[in-house]
Amino acid sequence: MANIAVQRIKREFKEVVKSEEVAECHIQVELVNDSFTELKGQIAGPPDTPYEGATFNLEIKIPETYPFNPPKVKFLTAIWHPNISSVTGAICLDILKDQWAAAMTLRTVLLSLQALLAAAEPDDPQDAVVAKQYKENHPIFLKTARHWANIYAGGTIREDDYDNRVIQLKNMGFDPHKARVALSTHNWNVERAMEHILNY
Amino acid sequence: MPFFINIRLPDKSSLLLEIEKEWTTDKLKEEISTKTKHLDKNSIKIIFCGQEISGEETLKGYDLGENSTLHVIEVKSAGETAKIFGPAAGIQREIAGEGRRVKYFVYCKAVCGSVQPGKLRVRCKLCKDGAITLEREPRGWMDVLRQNVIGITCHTKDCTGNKAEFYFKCGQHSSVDDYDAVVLNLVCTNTTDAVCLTCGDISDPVLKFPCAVQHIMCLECFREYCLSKLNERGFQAHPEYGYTVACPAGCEDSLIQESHHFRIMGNEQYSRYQQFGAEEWVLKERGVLCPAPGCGQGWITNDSGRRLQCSEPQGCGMVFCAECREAYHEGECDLASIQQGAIASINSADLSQTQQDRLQSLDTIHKTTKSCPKCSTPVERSGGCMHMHCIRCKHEWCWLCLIEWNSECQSDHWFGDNPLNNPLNYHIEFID
Repeated sequence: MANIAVQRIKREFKEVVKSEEVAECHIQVELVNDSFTELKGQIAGPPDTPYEGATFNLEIKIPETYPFNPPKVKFLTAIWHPNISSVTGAICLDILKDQWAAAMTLRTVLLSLQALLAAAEPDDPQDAVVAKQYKENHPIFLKTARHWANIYAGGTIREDDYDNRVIQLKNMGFDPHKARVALSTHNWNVERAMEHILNY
Repeated sequence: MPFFINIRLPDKSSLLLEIEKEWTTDKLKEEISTKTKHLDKNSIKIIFCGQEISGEETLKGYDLGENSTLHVIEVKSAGETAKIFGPAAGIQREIAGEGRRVKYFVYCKAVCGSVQPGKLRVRCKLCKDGAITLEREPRGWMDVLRQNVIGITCHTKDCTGNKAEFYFKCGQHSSVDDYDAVVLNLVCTNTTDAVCLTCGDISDPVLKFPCAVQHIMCLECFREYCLSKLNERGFQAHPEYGYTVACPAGCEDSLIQESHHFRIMGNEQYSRYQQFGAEEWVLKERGVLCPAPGCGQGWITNDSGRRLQCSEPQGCGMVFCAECREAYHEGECDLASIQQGAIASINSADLSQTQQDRLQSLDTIHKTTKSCPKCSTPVERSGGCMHMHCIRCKHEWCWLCLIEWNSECQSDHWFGDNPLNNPLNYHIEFID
């Protein structure tokens, strides 16, 4: 990797490690390899959101041309959010694309992602299914997001009725994750979810 | 340490004189008088850079070096020449304030091939001679970069020139005939120990972007920045400034206006920069670029036919299809027709191995790329979403539909298959 990229990442890494947010356990970053081309990030779900109490892991890949091009970031932890793909973890955030500027850093990226969890932009979605639910069935969206955060990201609030419906399908022999995706997609209607799984 | 300087005499002949910095002006005049035999030391003035060298002080205070040129003018009586100003003083004040001495930086193309401290010089715009006195000193960069701003009195016999022409020399070596170095007005001494926007180091000299906050970048990072932009064809064509880039922090009104700054990329990359800039212009004018690798020819045409030729002798002679940009072929732009066209275009003297290689590479390109729907450039997709951005013609298109990117593509298959159709395609780690 180009010298500038390595030098920058080393500096930014220190910046995150020493930051106040780390002290308060809000963001974290660790190295994956010695070459600084890949890092693992972690952000805490912001308070007063369905993600409160949960922790999300991120894959951060540093391009050769960093910091002139943005880092490639995606969620490793499954999440239910209009701007994050529930399938691949891909993120829709302007600063990770054309609004990136060389003055931004790992710390600002992590804090921006945390802000994205607190304030979704459903009109510029990465996940069309989630975005539709967010706009049309907001209470269900909130419960679904909380349920996913509880199951995949250590969120503390359980959604018992959703758990029960997943178990219901699991007991019928379906993979629990597939069942959860189908249920979430169909606003937790068990029959339509089953139909969905059987048809694909 | 004695060294040689050039003395230009009133009759425009030259005299090579060995001098020492410890000399006073009087001593210098005396030497000139002795050497020329006909000039009286009391009736001459000595001019360096539009500035009179006079008084009891030694030559140390002037930016004199090996091969510097001093001009001697004759005066009939004392005080005839009006007040003479030093051109450099105004700019130094503008940039440095009270602090360190500021240097100018130039790109020395002729000898060094790199950024070097430069020397500001001034001459008559008309006769190009340095025996002039300035009406006033320049107040800043604009006075120096825009010619014709400052009036002069030219002391060359019969010259009617009345405007100053500022120019720069490389400070690393003696003058090279007929060659002026290009000043890089954004490169300056890092007087405030500002950190580089990119790497965070403090270095000197630095490049200061023309944005309101004056972001600073070290020259090495600037080079890397330009290279990464160039490789992505990320420079933008500006009607006045040419092919250029803005501050990497995304500031408004921060385009670099003097394209010679891109010489910092080195000769080879600068040639690429020029080539890309020219191509960009041709494309903007709806022209055609020859698709042959390494040819680089471009032209504007009204020919609406499908058969185009890159005409010789400027071009390479390739005959190609206007739609797929492959060698000209009959029929649709499918692989078979394109391959046939390719075989036909290889002249019979070529070995069959060449043919084989060419067909194989066409085959690979065909299998691994899709053509931009607008400019037909073969595009390889290495990952990410389906929203393609052609770095050649800037067209935004959908990898799946091969049409202009639109909101339906975004909601239906932004990152590939619709998750509703294929929700079980997980690539991520789950903890349950």
